[in-house]
Amino acid sequence: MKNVSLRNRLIFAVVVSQILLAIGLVAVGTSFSRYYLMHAFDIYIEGRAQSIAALVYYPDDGRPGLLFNDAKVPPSPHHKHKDIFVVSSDHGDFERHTPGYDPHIFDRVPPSAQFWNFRSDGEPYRAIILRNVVILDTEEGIPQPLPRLTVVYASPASDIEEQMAHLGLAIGILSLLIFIPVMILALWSIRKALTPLNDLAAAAGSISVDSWVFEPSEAAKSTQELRPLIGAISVVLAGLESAFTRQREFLGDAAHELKTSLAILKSTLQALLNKPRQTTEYQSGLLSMNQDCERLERLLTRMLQTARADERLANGPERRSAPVDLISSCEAAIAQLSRFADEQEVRVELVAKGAAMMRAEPSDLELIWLNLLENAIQYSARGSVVEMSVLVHPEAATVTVADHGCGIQAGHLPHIFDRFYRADRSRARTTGGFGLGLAIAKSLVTLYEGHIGVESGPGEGTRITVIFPTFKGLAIECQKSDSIEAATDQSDKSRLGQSL
Amino acid sequence: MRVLVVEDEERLAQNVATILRDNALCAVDVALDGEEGLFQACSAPYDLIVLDLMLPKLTGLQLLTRFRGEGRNVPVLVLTARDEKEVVVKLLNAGADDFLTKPFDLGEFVARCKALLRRGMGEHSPVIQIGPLEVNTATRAVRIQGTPIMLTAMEYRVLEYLAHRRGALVSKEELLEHLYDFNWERFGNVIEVYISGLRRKLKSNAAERLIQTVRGMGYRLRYEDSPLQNDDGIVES
Repeated sequence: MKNVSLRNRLIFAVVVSQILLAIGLVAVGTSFSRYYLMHAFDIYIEGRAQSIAALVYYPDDGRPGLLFNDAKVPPSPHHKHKDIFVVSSDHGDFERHTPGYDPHIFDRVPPSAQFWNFRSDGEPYRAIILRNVVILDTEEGIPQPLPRLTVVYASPASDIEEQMAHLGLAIGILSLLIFIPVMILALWSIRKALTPLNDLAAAAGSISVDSWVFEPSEAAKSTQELRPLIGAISVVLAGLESAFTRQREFLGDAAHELKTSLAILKSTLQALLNKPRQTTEYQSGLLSMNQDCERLERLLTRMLQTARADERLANGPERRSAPVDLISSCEAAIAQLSRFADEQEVRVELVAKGAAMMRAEPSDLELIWLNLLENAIQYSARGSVVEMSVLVHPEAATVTVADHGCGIQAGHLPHIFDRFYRADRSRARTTGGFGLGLAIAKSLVTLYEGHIGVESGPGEGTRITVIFPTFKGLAIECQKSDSIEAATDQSDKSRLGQSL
Repeated sequence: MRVLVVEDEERLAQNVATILRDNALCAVDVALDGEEGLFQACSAPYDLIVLDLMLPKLTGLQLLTRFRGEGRNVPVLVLTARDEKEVVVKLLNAGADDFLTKPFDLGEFVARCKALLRRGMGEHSPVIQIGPLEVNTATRAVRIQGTPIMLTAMEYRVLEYLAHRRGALVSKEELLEHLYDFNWERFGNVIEVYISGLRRKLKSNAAERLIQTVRGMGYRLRYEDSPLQNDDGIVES
């Protein structure tokens, strides 16, 4: 894995940008000043060339030819390397130049440019050529055409180069001097800017299965870039914590149920073995132990169903099943519970109209109805009726299971779908409930994107409502089968008032 | 000895009660929920309370806290399906004397109950020695000068209780309360029947005056080498 440090990257970026800035400053500064210095120098030598041209004059006495006022030649600023000039007329009868002039020095005069550079005697020179310069000193009677002058003037440019070097050096040193405080400032602000991130990392690092407290520092919370991350972590943590807590509670409750059941079995066995007993005592002991085993078996089945439903729920809603008839699953559940209902002397009535198709595993639907009906039958008074009804709407199907039992107190209502929750524990024990049925039903209903709700009050009985969405494609199938049933006109009647 | 079992699993409660009656010769009452348990615990002088944690109406921990809050010192053995450290620590801090995790062994359960009953009486050894009389509360063997004495269950229970409270005056009511559960019909003279039976069986030179009757007050189990000094009643032999 590549080890990347945000801090080092930032420092690297600051250093590189500083160096680039320094280089840029030197380059731009020197070239800019060079341009202006050159320009000034050009103006200077142009002036010099003009003044040389101004020294050419006609003789006063009308003689032909031109004269040059040597005395007024401006002195060279440099002693060692003198300025060089050549002034000549286009008639070819006049040429003047600096003393000691090397005739080859202006051999390579560029044909078009006015200014150019060359070296002479190791010294850089800048030169100007002025063409067709008119002689200022005009006299009467000069034969036409008037001669025009060509002036070439060169001056040593080493001063400029030297100034440039100095300037570059000065900018460089200045950049370096600025670099130190800038680096200190950058390091400080990088450290400061990364503090919230480090805080956040520390806060996240302190989270464990035992401690779900996620308390990022104020600095981290007020950092704009970290806010989405903090939000995401908080959301994930809340979900994880509740999942963990639920899992832990489930495990604790499951262990309690299993251990208690086992404790009953073991104590019965040991009490039986404690001393010699009559055959009838052994028989009744063995019978109750057999019941204990069956109870334990039921508990395990329920726990596995709960765990399986939860596991499937964690994978998201189930949508791939084939369409099945909701009502026939209700009928199947009622049929399965007929013996239990008979034992409890409770009648189960199914009121269903039409057909409700939905995508689901038939066994899942049956399990939901079984759990709801079992509860309803258990809490019903003897001789009373449990009503199950299926209502089909275009986009949803509503199934209700209502009993006329003792009802549930308001305080228990929010918890009745919790696992292992029993409103009346001592009673549930005698009826063999574990408080898992409604939890399983809820998980399965949620699995098919349905909704489960309860209405109840003491003495009013309990009504549990399940609403399943039926899907668009299925609604058409629904209508089709509706019309078929209307034509045959048989199933409605048989379903209405089916009793056990 | 009288024990209260507070346990909502009726079958388990009955099994526990049976084994306590059979093996520890205790009178046992059963309460099936927390409220009932607290009421019973406060209304009769129990020598031990066996308490389940997960109870309807009032949890075992709440019951224990309230019970101890009233300054009652009866030993409490807690039965729990949860054996996590925090739970155990919480329990012991709330005033439990011992705990057993479900599923438990009935033999161990009885042994712990006996130990708690002993300790509740201020006894550490299972063998109580009063002069020539030796009562082994673990094996329920009674000897006088090394000779085993055969006693009926009720006679043994009376003797054991008196032995635990040796030297102290024990009223007939106290004996009735500690030896019978709520369901028993009490007849005042049963105690006298057992006492006279005990006296008959314990008869020997040395043990002649072990059980004294303090007329109108009760009984006292005491052994004295010196002739009796009677301050508080007339001694019957």
